[in-house]
Amino acid sequence: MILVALKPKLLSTKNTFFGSKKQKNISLFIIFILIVTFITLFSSGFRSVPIISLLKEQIKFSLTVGIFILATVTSLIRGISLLFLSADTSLMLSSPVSRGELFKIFFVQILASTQWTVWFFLAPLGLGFVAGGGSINFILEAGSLLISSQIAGTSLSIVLALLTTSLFPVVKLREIVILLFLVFLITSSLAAILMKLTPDSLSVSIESMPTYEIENFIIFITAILALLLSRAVFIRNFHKVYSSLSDHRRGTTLTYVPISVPLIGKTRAIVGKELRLFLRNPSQVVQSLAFLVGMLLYLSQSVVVGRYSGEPVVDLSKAFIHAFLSSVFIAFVAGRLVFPSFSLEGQSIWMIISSPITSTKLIWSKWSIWTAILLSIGGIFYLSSSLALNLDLGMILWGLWLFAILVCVQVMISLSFGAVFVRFDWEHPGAVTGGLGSFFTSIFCSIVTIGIVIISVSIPLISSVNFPNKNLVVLALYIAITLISYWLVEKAAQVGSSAIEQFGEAKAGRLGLLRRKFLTKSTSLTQSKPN
Amino acid sequence: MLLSVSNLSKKYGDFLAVNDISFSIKEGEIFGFLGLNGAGKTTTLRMLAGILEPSEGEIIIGGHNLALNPIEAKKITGYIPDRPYLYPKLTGQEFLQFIGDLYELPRKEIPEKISFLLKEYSLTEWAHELIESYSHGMRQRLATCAALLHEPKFLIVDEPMVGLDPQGARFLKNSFKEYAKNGMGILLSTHSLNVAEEITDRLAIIHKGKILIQGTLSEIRSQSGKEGLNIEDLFLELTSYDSRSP
Repeated sequence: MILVALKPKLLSTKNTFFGSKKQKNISLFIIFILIVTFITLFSSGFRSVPIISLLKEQIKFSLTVGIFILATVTSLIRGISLLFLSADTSLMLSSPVSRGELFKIFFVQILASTQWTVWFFLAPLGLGFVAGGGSINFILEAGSLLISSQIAGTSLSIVLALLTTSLFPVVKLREIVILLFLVFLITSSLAAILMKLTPDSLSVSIESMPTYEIENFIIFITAILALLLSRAVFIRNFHKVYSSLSDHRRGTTLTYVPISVPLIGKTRAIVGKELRLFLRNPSQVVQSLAFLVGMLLYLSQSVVVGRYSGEPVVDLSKAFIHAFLSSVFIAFVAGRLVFPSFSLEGQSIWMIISSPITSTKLIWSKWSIWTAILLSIGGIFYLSSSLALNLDLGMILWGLWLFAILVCVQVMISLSFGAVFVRFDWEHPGAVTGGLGSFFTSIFCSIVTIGIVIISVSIPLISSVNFPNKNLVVLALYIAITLISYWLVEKAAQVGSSAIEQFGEAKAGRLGLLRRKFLTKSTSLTQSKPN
Repeated sequence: MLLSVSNLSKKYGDFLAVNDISFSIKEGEIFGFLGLNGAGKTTTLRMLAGILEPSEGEIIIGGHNLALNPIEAKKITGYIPDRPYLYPKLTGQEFLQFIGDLYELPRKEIPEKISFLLKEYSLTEWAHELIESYSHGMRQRLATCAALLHEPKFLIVDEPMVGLDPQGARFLKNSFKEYAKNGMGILLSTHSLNVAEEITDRLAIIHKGKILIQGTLSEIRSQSGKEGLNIEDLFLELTSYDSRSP
């Protein structure tokens, strides 16, 4: 029955990939590039970077804690969406499917739909690690801990989704509970990491700590107990909780504090709406909190890694890896938060299209607000983690410049992709924010990031060597990379703008799917064609 | 008796959406559920389909208690919701295949049944197109095919005519009459008085979660003492208090 129930999702994915030749080619190209990049990086040299071998145990521990937190948070978003907001829940409930089977179906769906990306990234990484001479035992141990964390996280998310929804059926209150839970997770996990890894204990291997021996065992047992607990809670309570939520799903109890924006005219309209759409969307808010958790974890690890300094190779490695990781991190933030921007407008997009605003103005307004947000939050994060890593001033400034141009590029690419692969007919916002489009945008942004970072690394490398006209060459490189980035932003803006202009156009023929449907729906709602 | 509903209630917090209703449907009977928007029609139908848990009361479908033996009861029930969810990225054929598997129909029979229904509902040439390209009427027809695929004895239909053109509406009405002739019991919720008058054998008028009156049209006229009124006037008369309130 699980396979039967999952079949539509698998078929939908297949149809999405192969429905359009263009989409299929882009997806396969990105997957290929990503896998090759990871395997090459990790088999050829990353493993030999001193920090990685020094901090092997810490990496494993951080991975387990980090994945557990992220597994719980992302599963929680997906869990609430799938259990209570998805329309196919009612299809399942009206079909001859027992509650035990229903639990299995939901569990596998939540686990698979939220955790496959983790494996997608870690599998080539692990392969590269082993190919480069790394220990297979380490990979097996880390892998089993990862699965246990994911099972425990998914189970916990189902229990929490049922508990919070049952106790606080009003969405706003539920978010508050989720927030409190996250704060608890952040503080407890940070406390656990910092207790184990104080500066003085860094020289002591984690194996010698009393908790290490039982750590793995506890995680395995926790996963099994959590699974049994969530099954029992689900079977007893799901139908009752789902039934009690019908009136709330109609939105009668959703009340929010109004948001005012101190700007004028069209910019105020676009920026204000963008902020409202974002802040009133539970999946976006919870995702942001998840990213915040990731940033804090990264920061805490930076404090530890920052103790290793002095040797030029180690210092340079730290700076490059830091620039690379934080840029990829921001690429994922852009993919998950910025990419859905147009799709989240939903079928009310016709109001914007039919208003006197140009597509260029629209995309640049969205770019401004998102760049401002990511630059301010990300900038603080980058600066603080750079300081925690004990990087010298020159490297910090270089990193900040690199970070700033990458944010500008990634935001516009995400917006542009979001306009090209727009989807107005979502069932619930979580379907857009957690969809494949976001994921592939993140990957594409990461690839662009890797390219720019690799080119930019030449600046500090050249700076460290003495030769005539060095400053001039460095300055020329700064200008050239900035100009390349500017060109990328401009190009992406053009692509995005022309895609926006197509939003309201009905395509002839049967396969003018999305836009024709959008047009039909808008017409029936408003009695007038958009645009 | 194919369906027997006794003292059914549904509460959302303090709000009583369905208030102690009882009715029954025989094989081959089309039973209309008539009411204003928000009267409790859809909530009742969703309880009968097993989607919502009743707060109180009992539902027996084909001799199976829905609360105690939901799988058996659902196996003989078909449900067409007012806004059917059909996976947009599946083709019509794939969606019906999925429904066939979900109801555990013999694998060999599924393709034959699918072809028959698609032909019956004029969807054959769209069978391999993604559902997201379907018009509202086509989706409605596909949802009907899905509900009929496992040959249910009892069919629940929520607002079937909404958004259909006259031709589509006529076809659906004739189909329901045909199915009833073959022994299927049909519960049809609508706020369209013409539909209720034209195809139902008996009907109930639900108002603020309570059944005000039920029976054949002539029984309702005589029970209410409004024998000279047509169905529209009768309905408005019975529900007039609420229509004047804000």
